[in-house]
Amino acid sequence: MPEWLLNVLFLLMNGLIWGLIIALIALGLSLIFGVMGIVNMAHGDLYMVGAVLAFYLIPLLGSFWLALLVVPLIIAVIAAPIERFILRPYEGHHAVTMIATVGISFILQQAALATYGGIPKKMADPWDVTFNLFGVSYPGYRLLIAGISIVILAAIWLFLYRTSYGVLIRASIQDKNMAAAMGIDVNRVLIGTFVLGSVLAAIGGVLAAPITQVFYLMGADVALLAFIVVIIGGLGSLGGTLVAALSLCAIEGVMSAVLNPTLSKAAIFVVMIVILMIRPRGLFGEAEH
Amino acid sequence: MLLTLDDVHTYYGKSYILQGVSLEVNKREIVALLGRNGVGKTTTLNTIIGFVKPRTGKISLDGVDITAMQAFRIGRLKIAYVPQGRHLFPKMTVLENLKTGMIHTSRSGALDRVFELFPNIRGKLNQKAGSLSGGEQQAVAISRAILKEPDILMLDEPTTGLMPLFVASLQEIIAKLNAEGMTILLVEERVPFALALADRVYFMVKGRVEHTATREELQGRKDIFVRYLGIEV
Repeated sequence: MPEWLLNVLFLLMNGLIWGLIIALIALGLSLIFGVMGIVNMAHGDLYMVGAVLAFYLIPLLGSFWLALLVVPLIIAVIAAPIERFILRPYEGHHAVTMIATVGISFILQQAALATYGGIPKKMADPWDVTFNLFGVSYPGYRLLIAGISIVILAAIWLFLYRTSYGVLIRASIQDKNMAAAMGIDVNRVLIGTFVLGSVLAAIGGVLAAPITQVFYLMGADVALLAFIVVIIGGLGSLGGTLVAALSLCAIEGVMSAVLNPTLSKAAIFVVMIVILMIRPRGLFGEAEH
Repeated sequence: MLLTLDDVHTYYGKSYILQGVSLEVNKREIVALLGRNGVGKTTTLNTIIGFVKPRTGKISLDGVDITAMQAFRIGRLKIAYVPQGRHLFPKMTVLENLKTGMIHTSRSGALDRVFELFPNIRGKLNQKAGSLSGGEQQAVAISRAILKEPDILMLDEPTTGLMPLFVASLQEIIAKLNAEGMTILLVEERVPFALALADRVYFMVKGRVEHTATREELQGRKDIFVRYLGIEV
């Protein structure tokens, strides 16, 4: 196989794996917006906090798997009071809740800056193994990320579409009043959804920490990409989120072979504009009935 | 007395909608709430189910004060609501919609009972609710409500947008549910439909109940319909 093709394949693999992480984060964003109507500007920062916590906890606990369990629990403990005491009092006031999440974003960033510091840091791969793919050595940890992400996305799909609680969440997304009339405690669904969405961002942070630079502002780019994925995929569509995340990250990855990083990111915006011109509700977005 | 509203005053923001509504619904009765557009019929139902809270007054369901109760707690009581426009969960399947009616009741055979009343929906269980016809949507909305096994079923404009054939069939189904012991509170613009079913009728004018009469008392009283509804029946 020619070297340029191997190079493209390598970048494509990297893009797809990054796309799976983005899909997790974007799914959290989509769930929070879908159920609560909140544009969570702090979502990328919850990803960042997940990565920072992983930076400390993976060496401290001596186990990547344990950290993958503990970090989401910590984020859940942070997210629940944010929903209950900051966001819920302003339920339905979309501009206010969005501004509130901007405030939460600043708080999380400054807390990370004050404790972790302002210098980007790199951590070692938790699984330092390489596999031979098409004659090229490929890091085993990245394949592990792909496996974990696929398992989590499948679990979320099963949860939303094959359990009673999933039915309650989807009913609440579509009609809160009617869901309440059916006896569904919508407030409980709201807090559960915010915690779940935040935990997905944090899991993204834990998985990404070893393959990126951990930095207190690392959430900004990821949040922007996650927003684009949600818009292109179609709000509330798990399949759309996955397809959009994989496609965009694959395009960005492959483009980075021929373009500089800024231009390859710009390619994503071109794709978004074209798709929205053709399908204003995104690839898998459904028209209102 | 199954349902009682005592001097209920409800506002939507600054709009004063219910201006002291009082009414009573006895067990096993069919009660119709009639009035011109905008007099507060739907607001009355929305206030009972807890979508909007009254500023003053008292609402009791089977002896329990539900005035300040959260909507989901009222939703867990023996009361079900089929609102105007049906309000199905359109992106969920018919079966998933029906399951939301069975969250707090899981009697086996409940779905079979629904299929007896509405045989057409059996073949559409995996179809998205939003893709159904108006009649089918109404069938699913009523099925979802009765799966809650309510003592009282509130129906808001159930015949709106339905074909005449389905209206007749809906009338039979409501009568059948009532004959089996279900109390019905009906808001309906189609007066003959309401009169064919109702034991008693409340007439609303500008956010208040102005008149009440039994079906028998309304026989031959065109003047009442002209006065409160502006129509001749």
